[in-house]
Amino acid sequence: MTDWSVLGTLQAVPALDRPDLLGDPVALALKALDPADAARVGVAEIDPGLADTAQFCAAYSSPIDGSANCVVVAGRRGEDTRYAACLVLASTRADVNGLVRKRLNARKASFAPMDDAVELTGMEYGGITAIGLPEGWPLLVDSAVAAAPAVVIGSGIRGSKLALPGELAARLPAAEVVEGLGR
Amino acid sequence: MCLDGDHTYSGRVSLLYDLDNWVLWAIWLLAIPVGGYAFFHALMQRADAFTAADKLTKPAWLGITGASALVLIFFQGGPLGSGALFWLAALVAVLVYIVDVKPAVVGVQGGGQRW
Repeated sequence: MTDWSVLGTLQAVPALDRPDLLGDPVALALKALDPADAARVGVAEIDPGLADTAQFCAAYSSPIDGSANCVVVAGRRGEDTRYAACLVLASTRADVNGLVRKRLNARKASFAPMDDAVELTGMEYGGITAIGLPEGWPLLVDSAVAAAPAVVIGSGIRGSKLALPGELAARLPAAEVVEGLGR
Repeated sequence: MCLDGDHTYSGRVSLLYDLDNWVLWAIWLLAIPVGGYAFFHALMQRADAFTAADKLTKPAWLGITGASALVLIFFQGGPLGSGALFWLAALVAVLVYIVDVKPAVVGVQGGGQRW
């Protein structure tokens, strides 16, 4: 059994047992994973008003460095826009203008505007997560996330959170572990 | 050549001195709202934008712009006050925020102008 205690006072259940708590792309992607891996992803229902990391951690006694934020970055070179998702611990910030920009081979990198990110991922604002990202998006995982025993991430909706081992986050489709991504 | 130049000369110097002071005073007066604007602008930005833009952290810039705004308010410039050394330094810090940090932080949030 995987340890989901990183969710603080919440009781987690295997995510695939509660597809109603998952965003559609997230549920699809979980089903596509190796069932042994998917079984190590837990889900817990939360108050959608407390989906923002700082509030979530305070309300459910979850450690701030046990949460990983998923940031969608848009890199532009001329007319070409490429997207990537970055998974960094909530206690750190993604080095967008440095490492991410270089990885995307872009001239300019910025946070994707929230409307674009929501539309492209099919996930809810505030619930955008590393599982079930659009085809072709690299998922850059900070090495600190990969090394964490378990991290809390979004579920595609605001009304729940997922917990999974960092090692599994680093093996998600299109994932690349990047040293020093979170600063 | 003026033989009563002594009087006229000091008169002119005092006029220039006054002008200098009034210019400083006007700059100081304009700098206060600019300092306040910089502080509130920094306050409204998401914290990870500062790191993303490769700048000092949000708390650091809040401290710099906030302290600068206070210095600008409390060290009065112009003929009625002193401390131009301090508030000019504060003004420089505020201008660094507005000219360098603000465009980078706005740009990394996707709000930059499209050139």
